[in-house]
Amino acid sequence: MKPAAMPSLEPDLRETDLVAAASRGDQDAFEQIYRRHVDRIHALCLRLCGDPDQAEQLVQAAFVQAWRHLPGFRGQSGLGTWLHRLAVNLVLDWQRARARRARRELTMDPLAELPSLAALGAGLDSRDGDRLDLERAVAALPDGARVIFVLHEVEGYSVREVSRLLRVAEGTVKTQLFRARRRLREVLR
Amino acid sequence: MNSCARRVSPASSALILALAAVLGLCQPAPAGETIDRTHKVNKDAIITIDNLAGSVTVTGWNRNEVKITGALDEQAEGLQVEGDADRLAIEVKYPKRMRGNVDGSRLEIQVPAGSRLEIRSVSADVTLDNVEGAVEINTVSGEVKVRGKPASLRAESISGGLDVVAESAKIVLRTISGAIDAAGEAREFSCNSISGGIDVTADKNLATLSCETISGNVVVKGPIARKAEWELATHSGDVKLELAGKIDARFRVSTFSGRIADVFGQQPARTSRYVPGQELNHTEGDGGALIKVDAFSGNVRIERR
Amino acid sequence: MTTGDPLRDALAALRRGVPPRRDLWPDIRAQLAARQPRHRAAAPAQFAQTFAEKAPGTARRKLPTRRALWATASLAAAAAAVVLVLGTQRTPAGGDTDTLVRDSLADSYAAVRADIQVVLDNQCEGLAASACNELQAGLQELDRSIAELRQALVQAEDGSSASQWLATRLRRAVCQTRGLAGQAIRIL
Repeated sequence: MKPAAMPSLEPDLRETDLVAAASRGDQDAFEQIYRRHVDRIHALCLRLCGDPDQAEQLVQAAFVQAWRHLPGFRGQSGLGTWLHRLAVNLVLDWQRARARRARRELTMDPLAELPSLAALGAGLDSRDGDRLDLERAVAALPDGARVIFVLHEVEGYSVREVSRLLRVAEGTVKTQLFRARRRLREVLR
Repeated sequence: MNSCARRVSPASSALILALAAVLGLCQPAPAGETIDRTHKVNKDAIITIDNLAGSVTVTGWNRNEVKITGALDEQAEGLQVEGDADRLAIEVKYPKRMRGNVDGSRLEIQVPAGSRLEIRSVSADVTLDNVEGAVEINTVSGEVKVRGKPASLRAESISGGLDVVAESAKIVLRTISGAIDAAGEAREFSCNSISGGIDVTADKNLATLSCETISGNVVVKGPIARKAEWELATHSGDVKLELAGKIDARFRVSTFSGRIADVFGQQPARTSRYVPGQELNHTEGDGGALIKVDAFSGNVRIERR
Repeated sequence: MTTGDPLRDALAALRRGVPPRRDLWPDIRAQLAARQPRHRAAAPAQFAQTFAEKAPGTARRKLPTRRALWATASLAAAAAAVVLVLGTQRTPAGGDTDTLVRDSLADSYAAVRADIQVVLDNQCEGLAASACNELQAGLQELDRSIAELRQALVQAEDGSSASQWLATRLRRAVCQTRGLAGQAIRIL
């Protein structure tokens, strides 16, 4: 943990060292990278897929893939951003593959039949009122709407970026966001 | 701009330009615009399509025309269409250096059902339906979906998934990490992936099936055609056969360090006292077909549906 | 501080990180065990000059840039080198031949691999970056499988059916590499 001092203007040297060591095959260094970023990556996967068991599988897959691709990480972005992007793509690929298996497209209609509430509460502190309700409510959205909402509202991707990632029109993204927000406000009331 | 003139000798260029004017070629559509163009071609024309990003949807129809609709994205320099009635090349042109990421252009193309297709994309999704000529698709990460009865089909991707339900003489599907999902009738079926999973639904006309992966799992479901030959190989993936109907086949299954679980009540034998692997040699019914499965460390499971 | 909009407030209160229910590191480490990242091979193309030939699938493309031409030639050469070596292999009969097979396959794979790596290193820029990452990952998978096969072949009894089976698998894996080279050519 960084000491509570003035913000450093230098890059985080320790992380650079860790990346270099892990790229050379040092698993202990990679474990440090894992420990620093797992909560964030897990939160992302959990909110995108809505299921704690699946999220754990995806987190493992993401870190295994990160290990494979780490030698190609050039440091143009922060490591956290790189991991984040990798995880987003992994989850989306997994969802596409799953949809392909069932020979149907990702549900884009928020009025379509909702899946039953995932046991999302199992991973969260039950003392948090609003937070818990929001996580549950987001998990209960249909796949497509949930992914769009999480990417835009929680993870901060622009509408344009979301439309590219999901390969849908920006208009569709905006419509889904509008409907998702409306539904979530109803639930949170 | 006359992109056609660059390609031909001066002597023929006048004729070509006149023809081009008649056929409406060499007039690129500006970027960000919608597309609506039609070109006359022969019923068995060769049509090549290049779109970097976005989508390409090709449908066969019964006219001797190619109709292109859709929309280009902001960064595209234009839609270039070149060629003649025998061969048409459709390409979305992009600048050498792009700003940021590319949204992608949407192409919807109707082609004579008998035409031959060659489609190339980097991330554009490719969907093809109702084309009866030979088809070749090459993509990096686009999702590929093929339906219909192409005379032959070769589809390759790096990470895009291949989803094929087709009737064809020969189907070859190849990925590095994309998943392969295939069903339909083909006399010769070949699937190859490094780490992508392969899922094949066989049918009674499938004479030759070859599936090979390094770490992807292989699942083959369905009946075994009479005298069919299946060759399934993986290094560390798992192989699962879900067999339907009457089974008349010789099974030759080997693993180096994986396990074999089968439905015929046979005990797999240890290959040798030096290696932990197992093998299963078993004939079911009249043994007309040959099913070979090889796995290094993957497991093999054979089930009846 | 609340905004009066329950959704905005709930979003603002969302935690950045949510720890998983259990420590996933042991499972991840188990999966990493066989996946060692590789150094970039710096070996120059060994066969490029001798075996350069036109690669399939490039006939109808526009005249490639000089860089792409070189890349195509290198990969084609690498692929051709594999074919050449594989073509001269005989089914091992035991003893010295097994070692010969093993070593020559290892050499040919190393050569192909080095050539592909050099090409990827030179071509990986801009839009092709994700493609190169995937090809890189595919090569690493092949590395791992080839290493496991070679290790097993070393330990197998010379001339045994296990040894012959392993040699066949090794040949197939080297063929997979050739296939990967061909695919890389077609997308470059």
